[in-house]
Amino acid sequence: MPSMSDKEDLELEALQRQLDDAFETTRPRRGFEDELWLRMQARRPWWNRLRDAASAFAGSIWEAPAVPLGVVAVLLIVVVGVGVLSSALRPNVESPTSLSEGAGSRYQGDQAYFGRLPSPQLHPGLVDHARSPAAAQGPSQPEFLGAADLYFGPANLTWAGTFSSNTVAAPVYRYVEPSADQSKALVGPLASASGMTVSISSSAPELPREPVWTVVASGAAVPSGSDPGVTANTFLAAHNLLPTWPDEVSVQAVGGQARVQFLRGFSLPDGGVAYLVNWNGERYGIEVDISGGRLVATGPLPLGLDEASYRLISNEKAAQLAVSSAPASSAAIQPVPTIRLDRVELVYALAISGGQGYYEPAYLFSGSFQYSGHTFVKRVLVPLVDPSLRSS
Amino acid sequence: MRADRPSFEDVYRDYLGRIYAYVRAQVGSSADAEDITAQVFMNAYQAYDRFEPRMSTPAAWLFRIARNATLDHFRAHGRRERLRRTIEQQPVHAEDPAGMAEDRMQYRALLAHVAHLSERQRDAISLRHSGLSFEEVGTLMSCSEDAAKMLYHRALKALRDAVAGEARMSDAQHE
Repeated sequence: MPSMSDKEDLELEALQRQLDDAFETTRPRRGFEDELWLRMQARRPWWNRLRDAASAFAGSIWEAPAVPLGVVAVLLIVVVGVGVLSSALRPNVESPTSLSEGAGSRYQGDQAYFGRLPSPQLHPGLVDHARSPAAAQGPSQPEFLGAADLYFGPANLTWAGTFSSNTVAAPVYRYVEPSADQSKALVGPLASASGMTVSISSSAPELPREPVWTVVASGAAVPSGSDPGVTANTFLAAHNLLPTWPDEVSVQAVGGQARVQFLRGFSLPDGGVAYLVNWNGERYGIEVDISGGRLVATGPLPLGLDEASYRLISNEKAAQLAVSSAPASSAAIQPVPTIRLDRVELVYALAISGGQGYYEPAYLFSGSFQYSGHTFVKRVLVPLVDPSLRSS
Repeated sequence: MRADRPSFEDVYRDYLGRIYAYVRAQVGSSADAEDITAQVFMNAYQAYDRFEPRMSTPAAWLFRIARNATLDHFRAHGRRERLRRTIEQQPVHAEDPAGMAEDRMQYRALLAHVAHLSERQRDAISLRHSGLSFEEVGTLMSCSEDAAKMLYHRALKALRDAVAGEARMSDAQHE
């Protein structure tokens, strides 16, 4: 039988292991590393950059002693001069060495790394059965929707809001459609977990929607507890499904049924976060529906993303495009309503082309109006990547 | 012979996560932790020419800057910080469901307990579990290696008691 002292030692050792794990797993949000490095580079005096370039060049020359020193001096002047000139003429902040996994080249002038991009659009009225298993099972399931109805039809639009920022360039993120085997490997041990059914759906370009996993769990596979947020969190953590991206948590409960959403965000160069919206302009990410001891969770496959910075249009131009945009739906209210768009949010929206998905920055404009005693909300999505860098 | 100085980018890449975790355990808010971490590396970047590898490891040098930046933060935000800490003394289970879901970091509760220890105990735990030797911890805290070990073990016991105390309180509320 262990003595009190042995027991205390064991407790303290366990606590030390927990502390090791706690410090090892506490890390800044994704994107912080690159953002801070950029800020540090931007603050760096030009003479330091010049000195580093010169010393790096000189260092390489010393390894070839046969080169006459006069030639070294001339080369040094030419190389450093060209470096300073090109740095001064470059239109954007110098890109850092990419530090995050999967990050690619960044915007440099008009040479965008991914080439011309497809344009994200709203496609109201479509239903994604892979992402919304609850909705696919019939009208007896609760509708977790806001109070206002959405209207995407023709309207006379004006803009009367204000922009909270003026972003000149922002990252676009790209994934490559995985093969069936790659998708299976990404969900790995999930498929063999007892009490759970796992399915994978590839991208749906018509919506569009990225590849997703869906897990249906029941019985002992569902964590006990009355708090849906905690239940969802515990379940996702147990199966290594928690978001690896910035997110916001939303919990909605109707009767004995609940939906917990981990809304997906993308980090912005200024440190902010822009949320991903779907073809209706709704934020989405990982959804967990809990009802009567059964849990259905759906979320994007954890695909590696490449990143490239793209030049954006101005806020004024975006507002002009918003009020002159074609309606996303032909279903019309008569007479055609006049709507004042007075809110705008920087979001990310997906566009899929050629087996690749692109998460692109866009403005989601919105304004509400009354019709037959109901409040409707009009949404307009304006892609922000400069039209010269888009294919459609 | 001149000791090799790693490039600052290597130092940055190697230590950003550890410095952030150290700061995060001190201040209890990810926004403050990011601000302080940014300040640490800005300061380190400017001072890197003066870093002398023969005199100190990059870890000890960076954690000194981080410790000073954290102390500066507490001095500058003393009143607000004390208020926040008082609020954060509330048991974890008293938070709203959405907040609970957001608190998904597996060890966040444990780090919250660390943040509530006395300043020296908090420092000893955080520096030690950020990977520093007791000698380095002692140097940073201006005490001997043996004193650092004793301080650390006292802090560890205080932390264990705090965790056990909350567990007992939680059990009592559920009965």
